[in-house]
Amino acid sequence: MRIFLWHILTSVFVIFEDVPDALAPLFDDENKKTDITKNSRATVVSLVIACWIVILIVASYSFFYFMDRPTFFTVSANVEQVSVSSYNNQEYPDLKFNNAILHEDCGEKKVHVSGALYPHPTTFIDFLRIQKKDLIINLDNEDGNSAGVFIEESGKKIILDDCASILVSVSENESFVFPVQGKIKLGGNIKEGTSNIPLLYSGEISIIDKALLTRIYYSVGPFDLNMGDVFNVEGAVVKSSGFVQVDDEKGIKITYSSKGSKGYIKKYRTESITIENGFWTKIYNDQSLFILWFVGGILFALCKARIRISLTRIEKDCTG
Amino acid sequence: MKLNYIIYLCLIHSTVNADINTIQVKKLEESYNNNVEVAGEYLVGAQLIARDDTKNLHVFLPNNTKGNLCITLSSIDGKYKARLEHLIETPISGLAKVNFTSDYKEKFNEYSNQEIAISAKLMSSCDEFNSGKMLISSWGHIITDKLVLLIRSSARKDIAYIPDMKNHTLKAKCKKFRKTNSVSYDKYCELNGVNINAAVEIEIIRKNLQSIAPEKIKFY
Repeated sequence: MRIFLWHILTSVFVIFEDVPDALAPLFDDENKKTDITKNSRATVVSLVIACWIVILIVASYSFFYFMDRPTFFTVSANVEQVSVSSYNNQEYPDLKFNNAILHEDCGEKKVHVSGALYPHPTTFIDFLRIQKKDLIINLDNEDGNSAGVFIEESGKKIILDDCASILVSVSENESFVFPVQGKIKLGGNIKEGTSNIPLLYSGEISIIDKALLTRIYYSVGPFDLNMGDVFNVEGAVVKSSGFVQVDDEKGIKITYSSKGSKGYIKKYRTESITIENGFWTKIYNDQSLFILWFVGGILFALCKARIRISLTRIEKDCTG
Repeated sequence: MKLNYIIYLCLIHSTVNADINTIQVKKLEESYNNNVEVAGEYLVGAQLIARDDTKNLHVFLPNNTKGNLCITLSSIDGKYKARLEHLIETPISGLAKVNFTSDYKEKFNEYSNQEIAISAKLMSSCDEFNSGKMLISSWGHIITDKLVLLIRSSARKDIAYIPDMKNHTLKAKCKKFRKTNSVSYDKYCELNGVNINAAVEIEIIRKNLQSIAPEKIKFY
């Protein structure tokens, strides 16, 4: 059994040898062995063990590196609609307003408000701005409970209905920034038979990952987002974080980072593009992985050559 | 307790099965392609949730129904469309199974029940489909009292309710389909405790920072 196991462990080093049974001398009858045979045998055994350790190290490093690890995305885009939902019911950051218009219950009734908005974690938030019109922040709590609380500068508390909209008018030379956290989707789905669809204008996505050996960050991409695309990250492992900015240019500018299994660019009337840091992108972009495999390959070749020399010595010793 | 429940389900199953009429549809036009076609109507489907997920199309017909039964099926992504027509010559009532064989069975079965909307009507001619009262449909025969309206709405808030019922528990906020690519319709309104035997009208109040006329849906 032990000899059989050794045969398997050693055969990988003589697998392409011309000799029909290259390992035969190693496992010959004990009585025939001289000191040379014994020494060479010890060398082969230590080399085989050392080589297997190297192979296991390289393989395990590579395995964990290629395992389905989440991909880290950085996204910047110019869009008309940004949809945010809570990640694992975590709190949203509060949003500050100065002289905004609050439409309670998404109806006609409106009030001017200044203060901070605290959306409820189960609320869906849409930032919407068609061209250069007002920025509209829609809050919708689908379970029918309050979408959040607005606390005015005076301290007055307004408990919102399940649906509320806040309008922010953006004048020339004015700029507003709002933090966004949660699960983020960019752009609105194209629907036929309607106009005024909130579009994504343009954008780009990059993938950032750490190199296997050096732990230095490398970047993949950027992947372009074109007009009408919809982008979101599936299988998020942490909440996406970033901010939106509105100024006197059209739409909403957004930049954020996200970590998840895959990113999807949905294109109108055609199949989606999947973005991930997969096997081939890692091989192509991570030079340290190539170096690891190259060094592993060299060590394997050296071991193989040395084992072959030792086996030849044993063979000569046994036959001589 | 569990045994009683199973017996109860079996009884319902056998009773419902015994009462079901079957309609074999003769005229079927269907298509599946990536060139999405959307009619643009507000109400795309009205269907009861069925306990059996069989994808067997059923409609609830008023007493002694005769005439043209016109049904359209629309997938949520807008790729699958079907139009079924059948002339009912012998009067039938109640739950009826509508038999048809899809040429796109594999694609068809990939959709969940709420991802294919059923819109069924009784018309003098199926070419005038956009007018007329709706028939309640289902994708199975072991039905529940949950009625789902599948709508296409750009309003910020849609609330469906039955106006002639004082019981306002029969009121539902319409929710967005957030995970699927919703092209034909994008919201569903789920009303619980609906009595399908009573003639009903459902009204959907819509809010969009300005007044929008409510949508009224009349059923047989």
